[in-house]
Amino acid sequence: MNEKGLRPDINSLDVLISLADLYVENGLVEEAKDLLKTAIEENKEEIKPYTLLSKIFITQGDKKKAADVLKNAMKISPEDKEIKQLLKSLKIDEKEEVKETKTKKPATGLGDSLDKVLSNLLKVKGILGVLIVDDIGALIGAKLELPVEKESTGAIISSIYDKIKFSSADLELGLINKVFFELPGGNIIVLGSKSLRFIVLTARNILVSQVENVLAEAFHKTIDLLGVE
Amino acid sequence: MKKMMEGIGSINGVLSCYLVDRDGEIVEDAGNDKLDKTLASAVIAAITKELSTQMGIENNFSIIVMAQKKNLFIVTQKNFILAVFTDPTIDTGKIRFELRECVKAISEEL
Repeated sequence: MNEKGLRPDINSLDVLISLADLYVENGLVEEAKDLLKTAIEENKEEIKPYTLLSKIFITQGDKKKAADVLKNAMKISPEDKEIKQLLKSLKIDEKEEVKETKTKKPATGLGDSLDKVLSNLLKVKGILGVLIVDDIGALIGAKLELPVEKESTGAIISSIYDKIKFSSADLELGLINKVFFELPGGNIIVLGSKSLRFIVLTARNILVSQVENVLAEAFHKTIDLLGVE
Repeated sequence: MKKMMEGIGSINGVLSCYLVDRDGEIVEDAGNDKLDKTLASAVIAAITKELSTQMGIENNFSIIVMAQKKNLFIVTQKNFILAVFTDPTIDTGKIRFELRECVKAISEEL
């Protein structure tokens, strides 16, 4: 058992949820959130971890994140009563949400070609999301399977990437090709150009060497499609 | 500790390695890179601090920077940061394996 609990050895949804409940009961809310995010990653069609995670966010007063999680749950189960009730409690018009998820494509703000590039990336096993931001961290587009807030996530990762980029002269690294972040909850790969940050969120156990070429290809296609440097 | 760092420094393709505390002070180093050690360790600590602050992750994370002239591997633990500069052509998997082993040994020693 490591300091984050039993997570690495456990796959059962019920066990993950029971553990998350236990964490919450014992005040280990952040650990519970990590566990539920893992449960969502590994059981994408199950709504229970979504509802539990949204309840934690509601308890913490983070209605925006709770709503994002519930919106993703609604895509899986549009008629689920509990999700509707939770959304109601957040004063969100659930009819509008259902209509959006049924009729509209995710609002990426990208053309169809670029949307296709990102969608194809998400078909690769282990890739959980792609964010494209400009050189000041403003979101250009996103495709996500995770309940994360895309604008702030993109801005945060971009600012860390920039910190490394601006330090490269002091460290005599030369031009940066790629930055790989290995974090407790998953990995992040950032491919950067002069005016673009191509951020890929992956599962912890992904084999980077197997996706490297796919990522590079998608990155260069994105640059071409957006017509940027 | 010195022996462990020299062990990493002797791996083919490794240019230099630094064991620094979370404030950026050098604990131990090895290798023949002509880098300004004090500046490098401060910058490395600043990068890890940025990630910790922005993402709310205190430790147990790694950063790998792949660049034209060098690659940089940073492993952040509770009490220390291990940073290794390598030739960009080095086998990434091999150095990551070596670093994991070294981090384990350093943690035990500390």
